[in-house]
Amino acid sequence: MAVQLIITDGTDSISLLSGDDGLFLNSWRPAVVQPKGGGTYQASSLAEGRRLADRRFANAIESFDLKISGLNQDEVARRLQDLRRLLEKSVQYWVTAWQGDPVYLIVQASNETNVRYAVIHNWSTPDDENPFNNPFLQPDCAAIVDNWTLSIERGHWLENAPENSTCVQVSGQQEGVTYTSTTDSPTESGDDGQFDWLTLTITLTGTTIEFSNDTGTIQSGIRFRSVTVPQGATIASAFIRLRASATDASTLRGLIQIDNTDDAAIFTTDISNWTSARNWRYTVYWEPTGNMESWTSGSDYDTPDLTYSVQQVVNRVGWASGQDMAFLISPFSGNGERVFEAWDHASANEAELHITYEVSTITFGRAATCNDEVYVANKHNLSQITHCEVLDGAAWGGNLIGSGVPYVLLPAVPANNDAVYFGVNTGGPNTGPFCSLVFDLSTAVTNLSVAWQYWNGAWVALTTQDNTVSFSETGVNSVHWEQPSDWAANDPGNGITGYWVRALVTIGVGPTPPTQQNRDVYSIVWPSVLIDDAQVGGDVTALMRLYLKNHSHRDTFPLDDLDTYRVVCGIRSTSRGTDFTAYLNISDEQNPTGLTVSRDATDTDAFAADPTTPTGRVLVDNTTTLNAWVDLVTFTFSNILADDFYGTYHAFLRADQDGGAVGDIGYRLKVFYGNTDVIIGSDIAYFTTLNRWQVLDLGTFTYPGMPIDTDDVSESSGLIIQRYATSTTPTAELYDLIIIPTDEWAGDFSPKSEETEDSIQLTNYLDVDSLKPRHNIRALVRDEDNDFVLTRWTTIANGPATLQPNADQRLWFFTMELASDGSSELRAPPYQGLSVQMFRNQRYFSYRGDR
Amino acid sequence: MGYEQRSLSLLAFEPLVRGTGIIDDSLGTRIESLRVEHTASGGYWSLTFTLKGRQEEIEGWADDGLGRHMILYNTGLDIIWEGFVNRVSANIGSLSLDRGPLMEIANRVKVIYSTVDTSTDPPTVGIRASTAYANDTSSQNSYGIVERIVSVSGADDTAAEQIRDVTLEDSKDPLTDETDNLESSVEPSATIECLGYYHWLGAYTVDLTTTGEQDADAKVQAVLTADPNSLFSTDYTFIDSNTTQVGAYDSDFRTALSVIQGLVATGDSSFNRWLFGFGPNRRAFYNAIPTDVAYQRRLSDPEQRLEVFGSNTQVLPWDAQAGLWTFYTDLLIGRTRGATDFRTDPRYLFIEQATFTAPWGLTLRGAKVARLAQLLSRKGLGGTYA
Repeated sequence: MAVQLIITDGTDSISLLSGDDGLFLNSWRPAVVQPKGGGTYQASSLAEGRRLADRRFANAIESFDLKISGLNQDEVARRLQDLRRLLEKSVQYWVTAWQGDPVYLIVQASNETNVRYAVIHNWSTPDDENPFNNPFLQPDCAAIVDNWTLSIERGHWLENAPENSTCVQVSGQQEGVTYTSTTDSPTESGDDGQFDWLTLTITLTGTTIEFSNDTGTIQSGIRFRSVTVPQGATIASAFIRLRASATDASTLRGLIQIDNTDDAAIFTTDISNWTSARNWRYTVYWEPTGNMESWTSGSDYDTPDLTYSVQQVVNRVGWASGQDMAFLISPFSGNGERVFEAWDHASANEAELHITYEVSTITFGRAATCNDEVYVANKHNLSQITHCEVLDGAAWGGNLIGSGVPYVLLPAVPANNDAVYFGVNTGGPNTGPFCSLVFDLSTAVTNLSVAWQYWNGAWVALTTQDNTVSFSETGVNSVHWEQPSDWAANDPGNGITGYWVRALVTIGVGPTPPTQQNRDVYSIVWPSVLIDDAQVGGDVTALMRLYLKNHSHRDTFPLDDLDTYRVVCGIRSTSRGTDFTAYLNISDEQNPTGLTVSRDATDTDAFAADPTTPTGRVLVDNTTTLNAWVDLVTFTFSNILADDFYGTYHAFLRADQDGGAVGDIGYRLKVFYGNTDVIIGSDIAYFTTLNRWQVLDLGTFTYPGMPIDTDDVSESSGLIIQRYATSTTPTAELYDLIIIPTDEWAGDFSPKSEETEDSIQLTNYLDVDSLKPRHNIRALVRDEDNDFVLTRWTTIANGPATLQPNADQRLWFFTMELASDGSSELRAPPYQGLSVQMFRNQRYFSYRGDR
Repeated sequence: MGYEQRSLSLLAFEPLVRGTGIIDDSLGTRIESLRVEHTASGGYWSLTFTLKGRQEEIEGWADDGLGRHMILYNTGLDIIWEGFVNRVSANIGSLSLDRGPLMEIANRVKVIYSTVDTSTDPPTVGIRASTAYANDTSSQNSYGIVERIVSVSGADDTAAEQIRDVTLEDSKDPLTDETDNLESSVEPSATIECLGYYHWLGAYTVDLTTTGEQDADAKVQAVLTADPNSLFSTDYTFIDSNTTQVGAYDSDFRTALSVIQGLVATGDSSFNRWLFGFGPNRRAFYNAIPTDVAYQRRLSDPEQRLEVFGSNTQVLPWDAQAGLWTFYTDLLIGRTRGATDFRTDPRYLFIEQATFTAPWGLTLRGAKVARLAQLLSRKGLGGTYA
């Protein structure tokens, strides 16, 4: 390995070791940066000792004892001049605004693996040798400068030369559940039939089966063969689909039971086979409304959800995939009948049992990479898309999520009105609407285009920012939209009820489909990126550079552009809690395990569905109580989760005010720990407009704040959103509480101009940079094509942008847009999608070795 | 191992009367010293910092620094002080250059005078009159409208207008004092003295011609609305209702500051003291003195922390606010803590002024709260308490 002790500006270098430059290091005792003034101490005369309150590092001053030699005096003089000129350049870097090359030290010991660098701030050489005497005056015309001292003031040792960096791999991922659906049917006559309790007649070979209460009490029995659901699998949804063989609108209320046995037996004509030999359990009533109200021959009708019943059988120890499952459908009240086609019917439209169950968890999103492929959302959902399914004519192709990549996203030979559907099965827990999809296409489409649609009772156009350009762009690209207010969950025909969007095909000549590679299609639902501890080393925090690109911006959105006009972000080490999230959803779902969200029953309406909100749920503040602070929403952390949230934050409430006047409603935040202490932890914030996606700045707070350490345990602790209303006219919709960590590095960036062209859009990106020594931190918006600076953003930060050394950490984001109505109002729609890239320059006290 | 970031952000913007452009957002890590004052009456009161730098940067502050809009943010990214540059003292080599104070300029001047009849022996002083305003729009565009009323007696119209015009000419630009000490030369540096926007209340007079009485808080809003520079936020959500009736009419060339101080001194019907000042985003607050304790101190605390009352949550020294009660937990140990009247218990301190001095200094100056001022004010006997 090269031995190095070099002073350089990146172009001109002078070695303090090499004889080539005539400089020889006589001695050097490396300095280590020390705290300024030894640190800031507080010392009470009434207390023992003193307490270190704060500490900042000063520069280090290195002192090199050098010897300089040359063939003659002129050469020695030149060498001294060159060195001093280079050192003087180091000073000019700091004291002028226009000399942009830092001068720095490069050091590497003889067997040291890594090189280290340090920016030179100042220098001095107190004296030279007497030119008229030895040693400068040598008999053979040579010259020597002996005992020559060079002092250099430098900053921390760096991993890279100043202004240079190493990429930091970041990841954006979520553990999601994959579902698989099965559809099973009877396969022989004895698998379905009917039993007339009045006549004690059992029929197994009829082409139709009925359950009725008109001429008798007739039950239908159906056994589904080879149900391939693994033992213990979590059932997301289950129902039976029947093909009506008679039209009937007579009143009937039915009930459905399952044979709670390991492997249901075939039906026989033995009455005990229908009664005592069975274990009919878990009654589900089929109410005389909806698809029971009136049947038309030839149409399909689904039973109510049978998830619980099926779950009980699948949970049996003796259940195994491929065994059989039997149901009994009975009339309960009313005097009507419902008739459906049996296995023996020639049309082969016998009953179907549709089951969707969790197969496994699947990791959605992008693993650690330096590429610009890691996205963050402006919300935090637990929900993730569960289905990606191709419709080829009338045939569903099965769920591609979790099926293994690569997969083709359209039929091999696409035709008009073929489509690929993306959906969230709302049958599972923590599900809701979504606002983006990320693709990684290895093969682009040719000769076709797609129209994005959603369901609102019919399939209608969805306005999107489609960065795949109808799947014509290969690589990682995203599609974004605003969640429509009339978006409704539906079953598009594949048996899965959920929030769906689809890409409907219009073909040209010789169309070919796109292929997804590398990972499943996913929706961006997390607002942070993860940095692994192996990505950032060093002895102290590493200087950081951050690129943020907006992928959701669209000029023609009806109301919002989804550009980014303000970015608030903060680092939090995951050693402080892996379950921490900066987004506490004001919702009865989609929060971390251990976080309970409760509401004031008087002053709020029950949680309700709203497909536009981050979680698909909303809490309405009805402002019943006036002129008093009301504990409106309480976030209670379990004693296990509580540790994960210890820290200091800047809090924002995302909410809307409907009606009334600005100033009618104010909110503030409280912190509680245990049963008694309740602390006002933040400022009071009022709505400033009545527009959507308002951001109420609740200020800084510390949780729990008391002399509580992470090894203390409380039965109950958390946060409370309090509300003060002076009028019952307005109501407010509350969406989420965003708590950006500020006790590690945090920053708040925005342009000052209130001009939308200064925002982050599709064609530019935000560059937050602390790598340049001269600038503590700066935020610039650059053109994506040529990196030209487009505008400067104002920087508010608690220090230079830095990453924790040797620690897993997340960088959390909250972004806002400038209202498109010409006002200066900032809003925070949850639909923004950005990508993140990061770079580092590690810092060291002294030797690097191989780290 | 992890590191906590504890740098404050100090940002300089163009003077608000000129625009909103950013001038420097890196001051927080470059300033040599910082001193910040919050007061119970006034809110963000003053901020002083010193800056060493390149000569051209110091020259920039000396030449064009007056009026710059300044915001200080804490480590949690909250605004903790906001104001404007009132005075710049620069040292460039041997030259000491002092500019300002901005609040002592006048670019809108009126003279109020009593006419004098010199045809009689002796001359007789006549009725009270006033000149029209004289304005210097160039100065107003640079610094905002700063009004001055000059009162003289025994002048005729011509003399009064001459006094007005000379006053305007003399006062329209900030004072510049320069001292060149050839025996002493120092590195370029500047001491920047900033004031909170509360001080702009003294820069204009109100002309409220509504008759009758009105709620005190309505008059506060009327006074703020009259600001000719539109410096104050029109968000009045932090102006509490005060139904104490006050005269709505105020057209005697009183400054907004004088009117506000009178309203504050009036208090409310329960003789509570009221506070007025400005908080973040130049949003005015007007509310009764708090009735609960916000902070606590432990004199024996080795770290000498200011804490949130009822817990040991630290209030970082730069976050300390005035206008709040502090309780000393280890003073007069054993005495039962009174829950309501803090005035007579020495363990309670009402923070009239909180002064933070970087990096870690905090001084709390307290005073007891008296009710006499409210009573005197209501009786029309003066007694301002601001």
